[in-house]
Amino acid sequence: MMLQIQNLSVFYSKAMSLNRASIDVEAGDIAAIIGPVGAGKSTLLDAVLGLNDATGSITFEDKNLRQLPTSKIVRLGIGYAPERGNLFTQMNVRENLLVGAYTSRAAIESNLDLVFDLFPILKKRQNQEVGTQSGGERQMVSLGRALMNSPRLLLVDEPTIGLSPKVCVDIATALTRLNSQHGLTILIAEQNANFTLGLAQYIYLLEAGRIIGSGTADELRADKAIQESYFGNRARST
Amino acid sequence: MLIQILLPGLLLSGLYALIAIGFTMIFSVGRVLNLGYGAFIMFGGYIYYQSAQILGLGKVPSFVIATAAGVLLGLIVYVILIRKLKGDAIAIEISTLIFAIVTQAAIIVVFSPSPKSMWPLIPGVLRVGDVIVTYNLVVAAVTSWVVLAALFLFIGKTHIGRAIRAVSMDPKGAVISGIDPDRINLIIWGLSGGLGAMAGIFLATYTQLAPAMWVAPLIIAVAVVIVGGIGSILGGLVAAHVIGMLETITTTLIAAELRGVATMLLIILVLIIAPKGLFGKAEL
Repeated sequence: MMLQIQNLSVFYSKAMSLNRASIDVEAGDIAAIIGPVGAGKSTLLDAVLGLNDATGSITFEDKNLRQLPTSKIVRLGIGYAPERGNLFTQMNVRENLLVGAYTSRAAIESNLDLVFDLFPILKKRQNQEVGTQSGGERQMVSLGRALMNSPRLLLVDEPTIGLSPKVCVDIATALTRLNSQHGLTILIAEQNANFTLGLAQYIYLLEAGRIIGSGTADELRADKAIQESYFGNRARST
Repeated sequence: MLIQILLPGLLLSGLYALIAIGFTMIFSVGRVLNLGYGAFIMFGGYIYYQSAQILGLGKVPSFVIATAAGVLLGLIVYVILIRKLKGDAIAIEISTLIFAIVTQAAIIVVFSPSPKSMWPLIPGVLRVGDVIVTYNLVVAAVTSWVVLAALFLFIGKTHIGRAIRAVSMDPKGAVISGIDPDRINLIIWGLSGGLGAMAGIFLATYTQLAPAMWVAPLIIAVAVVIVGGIGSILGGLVAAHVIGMLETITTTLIAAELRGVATMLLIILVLIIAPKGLFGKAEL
């Protein structure tokens, strides 16, 4: 198991944001966590990177991540593209990517090639200040920056939020290529269940901080209650 | 008349930029006001004095020793004080102010409260038409610009420099890129201590060495941060030159006693008209 999370709980003040959540991610898989806004998806991904105070167990390739500082967790080979991007808006695209290479300087050129191959528009606009870019381009920069540290596990939070259908397809294509061509293991947190369904091999359902179900896309499609709650009519027709 | 204002103003501005840059960097990256910054300046001046004028080690070695001592002081302050108060801006500001006062007391104990005259770095004067400026101020300004240019190259072109900018722009984005903000803050405090000490050498040779000499540069540094735009090093450099020119105009055309007053009025004006300053965004 590449990533194993067991009984993970996170409190913000007295509010419980995650309640004993457990998920496993196999090496080479695309796994997903789907759930509504406020379900705790971002909290869970943040916890993997050690960005919040959590209880429970998180192991990555049998290494205990708890108590490790984020910079060391990143060096272990985990990339993170957070929901808000957290990009450096007064830097240009190339500089943002180079910051992402902070822990992997020996592979800068090959990683830049990979990012520009996945998102050719970034190569054209590498000197553009990120603050002036569209939401879709920023999402690409965020993913690209996460790839610059040569990760073996990529965490992606809400990659389609606020994006046009065309850009969502581009993002999905890039994630699929990263998984199938480059063997990258990916964990996506997403509220757009239909986007996730076509990508992930295994899906967890998260509601109010609890994992309420899990299964393959086919298994979840076959569950009528889950289908109505998460996938709607479009899923039924797929 | 114009050259009488422009030349000294330009040179003084270079010195002010060096005085302010270390303070601005700490604010940009750590988002805290280091009210003890003036102590780095005072410390640098006194170490140089001890080394060059008391021990006779020579100006260049003394310059290097004082700058290195400033770096060390910055690192020590960060490790024993700032790191432990992480995240509490008010506690940091109060503690750094106390640090400056304690440093002043220590300086008085060691060196006595009387002001001391410093030998100029290079004696003599430069005449440009009717204008006379000391070589000392010329050396101070030119060295300041060279140091600032090197600093900009470092921040703009190196991995560590980009990491410093990244932490200042988006700490979470920097952390998830594998950057350790604690290490970056340590570097910044060391740099700030060194730059402050260097500024202290120039300031002490331009004015004089005194235990209370940390207050005036702190006011200049705060003014530069407010006028330049909170969080902007580029804005700070522009503001330092604006303030340097303004002080020269005031003292040359109106009265030497008004040194500092125009700067205070400028702070109020900027706070009213453009509260974010000239370059009020979180960039370096």
